[in-house]
Amino acid sequence: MAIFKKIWLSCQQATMLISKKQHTGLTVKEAAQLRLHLAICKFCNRFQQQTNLIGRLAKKIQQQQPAVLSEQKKQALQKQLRDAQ
Amino acid sequence: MQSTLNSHQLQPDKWVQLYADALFSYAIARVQDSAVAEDLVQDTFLSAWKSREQYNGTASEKTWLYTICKNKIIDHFRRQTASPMVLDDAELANYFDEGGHWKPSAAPRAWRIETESAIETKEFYQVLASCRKKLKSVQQMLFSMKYLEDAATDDICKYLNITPSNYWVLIHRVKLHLRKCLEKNWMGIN
Repeated sequence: MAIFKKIWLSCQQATMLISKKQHTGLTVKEAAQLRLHLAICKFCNRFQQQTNLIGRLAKKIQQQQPAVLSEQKKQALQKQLRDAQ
Repeated sequence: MQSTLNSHQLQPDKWVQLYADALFSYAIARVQDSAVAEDLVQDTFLSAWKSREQYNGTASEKTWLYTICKNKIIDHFRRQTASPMVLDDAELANYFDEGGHWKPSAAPRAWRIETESAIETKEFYQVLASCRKKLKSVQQMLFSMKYLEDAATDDICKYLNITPSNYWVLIHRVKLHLRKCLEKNWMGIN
């Protein structure tokens, strides 16, 4: 079991590697350690799936919330631009 | 004869009518504050007007205005995060015990999700917005740059003056916080 202990990641380390994988990539050793951890740990699996989901949904934020400036503000902007000219 | 057939021209008189709402939506999605977003749109139009002579017509007027607005947003975030960044390890203690195991209160629960498109509701995005507001300002900036701007890691590091390893440690904290906040506030109402 000594070898297992040596390569086994804590959940804190495993979630860090999940984020690292999503953003900068992993070394071969890290990838192997993470695969081993994910094969066993349901919490870290959920963390990975759920944070991937959040990332995909976050990309649609702007489509979801089209915003409109007030007429008053628009008129003020128009005036400012005209004054600048 | 003017040789402007292939180049775009500026029409400042139409900017407000054509682009004010679009730029406002763009800004508010990123800064999450309508007063700040209004100021950013105003700054965008005024600096566009001031630098009109630098416009060379290769990009469309719309693209050009968006680029200016984007830079205004980055400047805004930069001002907010002027102090050097401290990675606070105490934050992690909310999630993991000393052995690095999930604390029972923080361990991810199963989310009941039938289809992904079923989640894309107004309620979900309202909860996401309120969760984003609870992040520290540097984290809010990272979130916007990464997920809304789809900025390259190198660019984000440059803007924030951090190393790539600092970058993913920070974005990791963002994920821990948002995931937990969504689970608590949104999964709860489903």
